[in-house]
Parts: sequence; C-alpha cells; structure tokens
Amino acid sequence: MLARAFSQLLPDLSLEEVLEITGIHSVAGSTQGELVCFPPFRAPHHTSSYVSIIGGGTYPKPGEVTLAHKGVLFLDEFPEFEKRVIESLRQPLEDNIVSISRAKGTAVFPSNFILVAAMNPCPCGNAGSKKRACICKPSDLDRYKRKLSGPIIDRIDLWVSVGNVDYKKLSGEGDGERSERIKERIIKAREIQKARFQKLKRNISTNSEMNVKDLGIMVNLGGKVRDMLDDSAERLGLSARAYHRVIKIARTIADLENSENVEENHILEAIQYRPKVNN
Amino acid sequence: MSFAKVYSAQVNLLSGAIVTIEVDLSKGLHSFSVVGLPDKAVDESKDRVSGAIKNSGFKSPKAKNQKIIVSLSPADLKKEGPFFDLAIALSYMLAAGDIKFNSEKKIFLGELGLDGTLRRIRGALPLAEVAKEMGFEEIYLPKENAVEAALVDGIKIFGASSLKEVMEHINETKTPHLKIPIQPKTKINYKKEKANTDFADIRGQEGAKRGLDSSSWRAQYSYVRTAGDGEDDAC
Repeated sequence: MLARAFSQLLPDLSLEEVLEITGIHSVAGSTQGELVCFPPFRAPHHTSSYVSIIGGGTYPKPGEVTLAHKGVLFLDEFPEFEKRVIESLRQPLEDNIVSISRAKGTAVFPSNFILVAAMNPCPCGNAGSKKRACICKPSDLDRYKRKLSGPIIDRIDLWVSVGNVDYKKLSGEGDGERSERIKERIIKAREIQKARFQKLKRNISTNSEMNVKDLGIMVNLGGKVRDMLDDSAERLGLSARAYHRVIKIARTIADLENSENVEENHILEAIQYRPKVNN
Repeated sequence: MSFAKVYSAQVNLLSGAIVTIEVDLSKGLHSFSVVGLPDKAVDESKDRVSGAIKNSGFKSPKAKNQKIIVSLSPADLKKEGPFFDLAIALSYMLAAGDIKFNSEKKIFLGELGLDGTLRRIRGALPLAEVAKEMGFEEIYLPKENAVEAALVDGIKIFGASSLKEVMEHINETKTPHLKIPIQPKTKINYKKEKANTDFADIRGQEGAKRGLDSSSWRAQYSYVRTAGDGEDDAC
C-alpha cells in the first residue's frame, strides 16, 4: 500500500514521456489502446522468472524493468526472488538501461525506474520484535542475508525499517499529510533541480542523474559539513558509490526543504538511510 | 492485374519495421502460400483473410483454381503476429481486380475476423511513428488503436471497424464511396479520479513515509520490514 501510494506521488509524465511509455506498453500488449499518462506501477510476484523481469526471448522482448520505465518497480518479499533475478538488477539500477544479447539480435531497452523493495527481517518475520520471538535457525538467517549481495545493497539508497503500529493508531482517524500536498512539494523540488541544471546547461532533470563532476560543481558543502561527512563515511566504511549517493540524497532533502545549501542535518538524514547491517 | 503491392508494418523490439506485402496470382491448381519467414500466426492469416473476403461480399481466394503467392519482405525479418491480415486481404483483392486503389504511401494494419471485422493490434503508436519517419501519409488500422496512433503528428490516421469499411473508403471504381473520418489528434488528459491510496490513510510508519518522500528523486530505494507487520497492518 505504501509503494502504490508512493507511485502516485510522482509528477505526471510529460508529452515526450507519454509517447515513449505508451509505445513501450503498447508493444508489450499491456494496454487496451489507451494512453499511459501517469508513471507506471509494476509489482511482479516473487516467483517471476528472470526473462519476465529483465526481458529476453529468442527475439528479445521487454521485461518488467522496462515496463516500469519512468515509474515504480515494486518487489515485495525481495529476498524471495531468485538470486539471478536480484543480481541482474545491477545494470538497470546503475545505467538505467538493460541490454539483452541473443543469437538472433541485441536489444537495448530503457529501464529508468525507482525500485521499491520490501522484505522481512528474517524468514519467520519476528526478528527484532518486542512481542514475538524469532524461531529461525542461524543457518536460515545466514542464507536469507546472503540472498542480497553487497553490490545490490550498495545500490539501494534508502533503507527504512518499518516497525509495528500501535493498535490504537490503527483504529484512529488517518490524520497524516495528504498525498496531494506531498506531491506539490515534490514537484517544487523537481523544479528547483531543473532550474539548477538548466543554469549549468546540463541535460538532466533529477539529482540522481548527476555524475561525479556535477556533484563537485552543484553541491557546495561547507568545510564543517564536508568534514562530518568524511568522518561518517570513514566510520561506516561507505563505498565510493555510496558516498556519492549520500551527497545526492542530502541535496534532494535540501531541495525538498527549499534550502539553498546542503546543511549538516541534511547529510545526517541521508546517512541514516544507509543500511544498518552490511554483510 | 495479377500482381499487387501493399504496405504494412510489424513491431520489432520497441520500435516498428515496415513490411512490403506482394501478392502474385497465376494459373494452375489451387495453392495458397505465404513466404518471407512467417510465424504460425502469419501463416494462419490465409484462412482468416479468405473468410473475411468471402463474408465481405467477394469471391473467396479459395473458391478459384489459382496459385496465390504472398511474399512478405524484407525476407530475412521474422514476421510475427496478426498485423498483416488487412494488408494481405487488400493486396489479394487488388491483384484479383476486385477493387482498385493506389497503394503507395499507405500503411494497413489489423487482424481480421472471419466476418471481416478488424481487431485490435499491439504497438500501434510505435508503428505510426515509424510510418511517419518513412514518409508514409496514411495509416488504416482498427478503431480501438486509432486514439493511440493519433498521438503522432503529421500523418493521417483512419480507424476502421471492418474490412468492408476500408474497401469502400479506398476503392476508386465505386462511387459514391463511404469515407472514414480522419482521427483527430489525441490530446493528453491528466484528469484522474481521486487517488485511491492516499498517504494520509496509512497509519503510523512516519519513518517510511519520510523515506518515500525523499526517494521521489528517482533513486533506488528499499525499506525493511520488521517484526511481522508491514503493509497489511499499516493499511
């Protein structure tokens, strides 16, 4: 439900995007002749095959990663997917494309999507609970953990643990922020980003597309902030990729708060989204 | 005339490829063959086309003693799916002299039913884009696909519901003919019924919401559930 609500937070597609996405979905036969005007939301089951997720076949056909282009790919029960499927997400997550070579031809499909994944803390689902005991064998825990490799963990930017909800809260009124308001804030942040990229004549539209050179030019970290970041990175053992991603997330948080500079609290918030456990 | 050439297109990866359909009729014992790497769906179009022509008021290709060769080119491209039914039917009728029209700069797409109705195809939008790039001026396709194809500027889109409608529209010998209206350019309409899942309806989970909020920058994101709860409880 969170993931679906999330896909509705994304800004509507532009005309070129509508043409591109409608074309992809039309070829795949997943539309009934209507247009795709909103970011797609794809939630394949965890038993889905490698080919259905990545794409393939004798004559290459697009898979779920391409159908989720410019939208959200939601993988529920992430570690339950085949190891091969999880690992094959590396290229699309890094390059935003997936190239498939077969005997009868090579295809490069676009796959610029937001991955939202959900998993249990352990196979029985009780690890970390205050009320119930975990009954998993150490070997099961180990196997479950190993399902997600370091490179995949590294490519996922934001990790949030979702705790139990009070029963009282469940029966109460929903008084959180409405999606429309959040969406407005996101659109505003995107506009700030776009304006920044235009000023520097870069043909990109979101912070995630910034390369290392862009980061140097566009994100000014004060001396104190940079020291703190370097210190934390050292302590957490962040990879070069993770280090740059933390800066990009901090920039985004600052944009969402309409703050010109990236401050200490933005970096701190970005760092606390890094995975707590590394295997 | 015992030869005719008509253009169609098929989906190729995420884009399209123009396919030329040629029909040659010659005297001899009856045979009907499709060449040019057809898959099963293309090969079976012989029967659909025959039925559709018969039920549209013309003589079925199978009712005459003649050799029919349908060639789909480029010959090395595998032809897949039911895109070519309409083009094969029109090409045959043109060769047999049932109708007369100028087939240049026109693309015909669609699957035929035995009664001559046109059925929806996939990939109408990329096919229309390719047709425009290749300099074609008109596309005839099933009505259901017309809205999608009309997103493309600078090419005339005709959405038809049957083989008969297309024939009457293009046939030059019969007057007055029935004209299919040109599909107006499709406008994008962002209006949507109220979102059915709203963040405000999700109780608790403020941390997850905050994370999702920040991740809307097209990053990759994940959240970890703890202790046997998660979405079901959050709903």
